[in-house]
This record gives sequence, structure tokens and C-alpha cells, in this order.
Amino acid sequence: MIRKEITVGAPPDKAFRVWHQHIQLWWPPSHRTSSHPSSTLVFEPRVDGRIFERSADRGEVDYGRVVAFEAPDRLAYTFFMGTGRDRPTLVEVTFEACAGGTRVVVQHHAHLAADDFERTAPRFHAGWGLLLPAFADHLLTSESP
Amino acid sequence: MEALDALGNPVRRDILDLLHAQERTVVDLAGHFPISRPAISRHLKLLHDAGLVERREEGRTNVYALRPEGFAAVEAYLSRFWDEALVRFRMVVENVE
Repeated sequence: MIRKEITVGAPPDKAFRVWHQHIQLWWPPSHRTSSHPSSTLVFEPRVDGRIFERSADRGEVDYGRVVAFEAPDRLAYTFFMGTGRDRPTLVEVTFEACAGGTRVVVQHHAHLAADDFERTAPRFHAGWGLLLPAFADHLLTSESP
Repeated sequence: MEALDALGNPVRRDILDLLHAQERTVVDLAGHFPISRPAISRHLKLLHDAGLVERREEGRTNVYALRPEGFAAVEAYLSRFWDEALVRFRMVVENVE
């Protein structure tokens, strides 16, 4: 599991709203399936809503499906890319009021059943490698032979 | 070669995906790609050098399998991905209405 947290200078309800409503703005452009300027991320704000990328060159590409939409405290969604729909990973984000505004915690679980992480870790890691090809390519100073 | 560099190529990423399902021979892998068997062998050597796959001899052929511990470097890399995304998120959340 990967766990990250950051404190943002805004109340939880705003942080929660920006996470889904402005995913297009904060999701790094280098981490998408399309590098076309038309690439847009859409987060449908409801349980069972789709999270997908739409672009002129790739059409619509599903990233995942919302499994928890508990404004303003918690979001959770499956992630298909790299691992496939049959073996989704799970992203869980919580928003908690704190002194500086909101503490945002991201937990990225290897598998919906987190207890078999060891078994699924190889696929998780490989999947992430597949998920972020644009970023991986971007980091390379030159294409490997 | 570093693990992340090894992942920076679509054929090698596809090879890893195929190896996740099961271990495979070079001939088997080559059948999934429109490139020559020597080219596949070259990709496999790079993946092996990067510590992402392991190989063993079986008769006259080599069998390749994922090497899970090689992916620790990838996890570190993903960790940096979330770092970047969250910094961007903070910038957005503090600057939009």
C-alpha cells in the first residue's frame, strides 16, 4: 500500500469538491493515456460514477469506478488501468479538518482485498508501470534500445 | 539498467504484463509481438539486467518469470507520482473558487 498525506489551505468540503470536480486541473498531464491537448479527465460525483479520460485521439478510457462518495470526508474508487477490470486496485482519499485547513490522506491499495497484498504486489507494481507510461517515458532522457 | 528505465518502453511493459499471468519461454513471448525473436531476447536481457525478471534454463530454452522484489524501485517511483499529484492538488484547491 502507498500512503501519502498533505495539508491544504481550504476547508474539507472544498478540498473534497476540488478533488473530483477539478481532477482535470490537478492530475498531472504527463500521467495520462493520451498526450493530446484535448485530454480531459472526468470524475462522475456519485457512487458507481465513472472516472475516465476523454481525448480526440483515444476516445474514452476508463480509469475506475467510484465505490464511496461521502462528502466531505471520504472518497474511494477502483482503478482499472494496468491491472484490468478483473483485478482493480483501490484508491481511498480522506479529508479531515486540521489547524492549517484540511489534511488529505491518499491510500492506494494493491487490491480490493488488501490482506493478500504480498501475492498481488507484483501485478500491482507492474500495473502501475503500465499505468504511467507517459510519465516513465517523460523521465527518460533517451529511449532505451 | 534501472527498473524504471526498463519500464520506459511499451514492448517491455507488455512483456511484464504477459509474465504476470505465467512464466513463459522466449518463443512463447515472441508469438505475442510483431517483432523478431532476437529483439524480444534483447528486451528480456534488459529486463533481466534491471532485476525485474528472472530466468532459468529448461532443456535448451530459457524460461522467464517476474521477479517481484525487483519492483521495489517502481513503488518508490509511484510514491513520487503521488507526491507530484498532491502538490498540484494543493495548488489547485488553494486557487480555484
